[in-house]
Amino acid sequence: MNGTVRQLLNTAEQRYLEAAEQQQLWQQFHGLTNRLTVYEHIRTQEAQIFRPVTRQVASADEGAVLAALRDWVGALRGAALAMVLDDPEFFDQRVGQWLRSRPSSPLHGTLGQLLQAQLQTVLGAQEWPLLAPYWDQAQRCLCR
Amino acid sequence: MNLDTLLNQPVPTDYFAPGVYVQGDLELGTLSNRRGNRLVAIPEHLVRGIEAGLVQEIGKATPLVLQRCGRHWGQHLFARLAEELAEYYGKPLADLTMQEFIYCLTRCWQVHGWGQLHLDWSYSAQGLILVSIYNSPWVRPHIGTGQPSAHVEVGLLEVLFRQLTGREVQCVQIACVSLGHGMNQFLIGLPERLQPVVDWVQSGMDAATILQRLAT
Repeated sequence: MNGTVRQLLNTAEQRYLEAAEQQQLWQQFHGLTNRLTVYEHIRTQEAQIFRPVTRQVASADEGAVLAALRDWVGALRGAALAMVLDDPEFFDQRVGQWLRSRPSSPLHGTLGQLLQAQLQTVLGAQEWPLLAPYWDQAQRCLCR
Repeated sequence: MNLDTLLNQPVPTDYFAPGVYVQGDLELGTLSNRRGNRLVAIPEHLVRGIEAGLVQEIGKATPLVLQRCGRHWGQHLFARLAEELAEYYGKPLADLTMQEFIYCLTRCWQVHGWGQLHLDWSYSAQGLILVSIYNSPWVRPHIGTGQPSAHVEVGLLEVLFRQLTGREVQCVQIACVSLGHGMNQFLIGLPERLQPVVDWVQSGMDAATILQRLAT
């Protein structure tokens, strides 16, 4: 649950929500349906997102690539869910702190750049901006 | 393992992530962890009450009993960690990297409300591990007993590190919030390495001086 909704629910414990506050809830509701569409797109296209990127780093050490890929798969899944909930704190608590504890590898940076380009292609100009803040969060965790 | 295999399976991340690890069932009136093992939130006053009751009933033996309680807890905690982490990460505990395991251990402390656990390997050349626990629930600040008094944590850490290292390590507390320090600090190592520290603590030496002596 993101901060806005949480705050509105807390307010609603004391009194009925005013029109402007109800409007905020409607916006959250509409935003949620859009974000769920992007989430579904990411879910069904996951292999299309990762496969071309994996080919581009095929010459690197297989074990190291797999370890870094595993981190990015976890990061993307976490970022996608945090996007649905519109909740950066959710990302940080569920996966962000874990990602920051992962052994640092130059492959994180390489894969991160390649994956971002691929995500922009797959999601397009309308959907990518919804994921972008959470992807940036993941980048900050893994590309230290 | 290829990419398709990777994408067709769960990718484990943070086992102790708050919000997932602790779950409540209001109808049953229970808390449990993500595997369904029951958790209990113990009020601070009960912790104080147990200690006060022990002091009243058994006096000087209290530290020993509390340490034993910690040891018992440590044995079960290790067994549970080994089982739960192996199941979640899909590999035996021994196959987790040290970094992964330490991360899980510190998150385990956080999510259960046992404070913040920090492990410091700076004294590994001396064969010792420095453990700091901030916001410990086990000791009241500034009660001035003269000696460190986080007996439960001493027992817990001792057994936990025995299980982890497979060696008969001991644990000695060198700083305590009851003495006005900002955290509880412990040194863990083999008895022969730890003996000078035990002597220093008993002579009333403060933690900073002990650590300084170890470093030189």
